Amino acid sequence: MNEKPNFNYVNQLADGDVAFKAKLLAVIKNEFPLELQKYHAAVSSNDLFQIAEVVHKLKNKISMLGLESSYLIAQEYEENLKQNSTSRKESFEEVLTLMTAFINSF
Amino acid sequence: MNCIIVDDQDSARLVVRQLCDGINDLDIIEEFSSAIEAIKFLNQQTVDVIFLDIHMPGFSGFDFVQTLKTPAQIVLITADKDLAIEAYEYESISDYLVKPITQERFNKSMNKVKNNLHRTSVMQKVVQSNDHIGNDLYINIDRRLTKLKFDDILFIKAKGDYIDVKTHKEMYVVHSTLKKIKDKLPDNIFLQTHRSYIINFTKIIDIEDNSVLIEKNVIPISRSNRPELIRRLNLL
Amino acid sequence: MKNCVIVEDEQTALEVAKHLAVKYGALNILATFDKAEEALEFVNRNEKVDIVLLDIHLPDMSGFSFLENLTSTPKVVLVTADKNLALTAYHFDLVVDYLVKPLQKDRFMEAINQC
Repeated sequence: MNEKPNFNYVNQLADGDVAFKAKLLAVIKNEFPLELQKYHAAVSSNDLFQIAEVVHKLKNKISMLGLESSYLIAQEYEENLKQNSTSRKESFEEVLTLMTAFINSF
Repeated sequence: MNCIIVDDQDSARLVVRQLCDGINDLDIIEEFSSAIEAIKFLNQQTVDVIFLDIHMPGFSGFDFVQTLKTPAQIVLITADKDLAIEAYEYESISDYLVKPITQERFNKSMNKVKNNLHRTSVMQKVVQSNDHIGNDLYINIDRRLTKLKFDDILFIKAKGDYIDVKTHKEMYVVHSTLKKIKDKLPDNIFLQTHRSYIINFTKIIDIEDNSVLIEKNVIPISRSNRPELIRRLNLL
Repeated sequence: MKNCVIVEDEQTALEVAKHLAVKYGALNILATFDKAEEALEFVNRNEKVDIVLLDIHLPDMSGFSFLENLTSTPKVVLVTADKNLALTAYHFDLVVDYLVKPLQKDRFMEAINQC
């Protein structure tokens, strides 16, 4: 995958408001690991519906970090889960790894 | 309330006509099987509601909506469930009905349209004469017209495609440019002090070299605008 | 200044909504909620709420259930990551606009201007 997480959206939203950018990143940094945990818990329980719910929530952060193709992967995965299939799971989890590394770096 | 129906299928128009019959005081003025005919009509006449099928041969439904310069409300009628999200991008689209439409759903839609109509028609009457009516400025926040007394406006600041109109209690964010709004403001009260600011100079509390104080707001004065400001103040 | 209430369970999205509401929407935030139930109680009791920014996917009930149980009449702007619910949104009179996350400044302002 060629996409890299970036601050394009965050910067555009903050529009020079340094305090806001810092706050937003702090919130992302705080919330993401919790959602990641929920994701793994849902995968362990094999409750596809629940996994879909968490993927739905994670989609927003994927998009906010500028990952447009990854967002589509998440979208597909979510839809597949609702149809009782785990197709796209691996690609989605790669996205999560990418995001984890990026979020840890700020 | 009057309306037109725009749909290329005879049977579809018939259904809408039937649904309209179930509504009191809703008159169908005309039916059109093509968008072009409808546009010609709308250039001559205005209606309250347009029932529009988004899928007509050789024409891009949403483009049509965008280019229509009519205050009419548009109710989309379509077999396609998936365009609702795009429909929300267009303020003139009041509702989105998926075929086959029940009378109940249609009635609900017409109630919404009636309520919207009542709100905007009151505003339209007021603005018919002039934008610059006596002591008031009418600012258009999309289809809603808000009346502001000139005397209540402290200053106006440009912000990209928008302007902030500041009164004592509120700040209105309006889709307009400083240039456009300037034409609506009387010269004897308002003055442009800076590329991005127009002030009501009767509200100046204090003045420095590069700025004026209006209530608690510091408004910059550019060098080129300063002479005019001084001149006006001397006349006060 | 118009008063608003934000109902959003994702913290990040809430931060963004708050920022846009205050800085670009010129709104006064009365309260924020991460559950529909509490938000419903508050909005139903409180006539001063002009606008509700409402997420559809909430932990205790959907935004649509919230709307069905709303007895007061604020304007509602739906905010969601789900592109498929716009059709249902059109059923609700109070819904003025439907915004897809992540929120964009200009689109947000358009929505608020319609309230």
